[in-house]
Amino acid sequence: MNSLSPPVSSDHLNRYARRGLIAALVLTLLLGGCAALINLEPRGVLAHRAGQLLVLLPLIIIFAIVWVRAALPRGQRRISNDQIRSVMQDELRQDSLHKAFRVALVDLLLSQPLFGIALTLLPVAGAPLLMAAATVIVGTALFFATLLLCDRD
Amino acid sequence: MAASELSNTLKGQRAQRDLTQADLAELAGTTRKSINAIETGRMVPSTVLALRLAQALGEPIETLFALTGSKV
Repeated sequence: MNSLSPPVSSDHLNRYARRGLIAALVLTLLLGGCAALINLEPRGVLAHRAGQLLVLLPLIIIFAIVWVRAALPRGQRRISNDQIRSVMQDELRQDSLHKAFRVALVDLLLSQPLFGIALTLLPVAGAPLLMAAATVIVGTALFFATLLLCDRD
Repeated sequence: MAASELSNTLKGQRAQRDLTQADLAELAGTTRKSINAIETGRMVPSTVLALRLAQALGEPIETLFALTGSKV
């Protein structure tokens, strides 16, 4: 961190961390949604649109990074490892992390039969691969969503 | 233990000393968000944090936290 810049307040740090989680959730859902559309109906119009959206993904990621960093005040956009650690080790964050891990684990177990049945009924190629990808994406999205819900102000 | 079984007087004690949540968070070495979650009953603090809060406010821990509704 620049030694001349004042320390970033904990409220700004929290907003920064929260925006990071929101960006991660949106990107996960975007990737998952596009992948689902492309795999379920490869020649459809929606799959074509999803493919076009995926081409824009690098721009979307850059926009997300700019949006996350905009949570910090001007001139204080360099955060030290200690400040990040203080956010991560906060008791509410730890408590929320544990809840989010539990929710993701339960989802991981419960979603298997549901995905299994759904993918048996749908005529898709590479069903096991799709099932694995869907499990990871839904689990990750639920993890971020639960963390955002529990770790709110 | 459920959060609803633990009552606390943190908000009142803080108000008596004219402290904001941010002030108390800094004194106790935590974040304003955690103080808010404890005050609203969304989070049960760890023993360490509860003791730090008591120390920061200069009160015995029983003044800040009490069990309600069930006998131990």
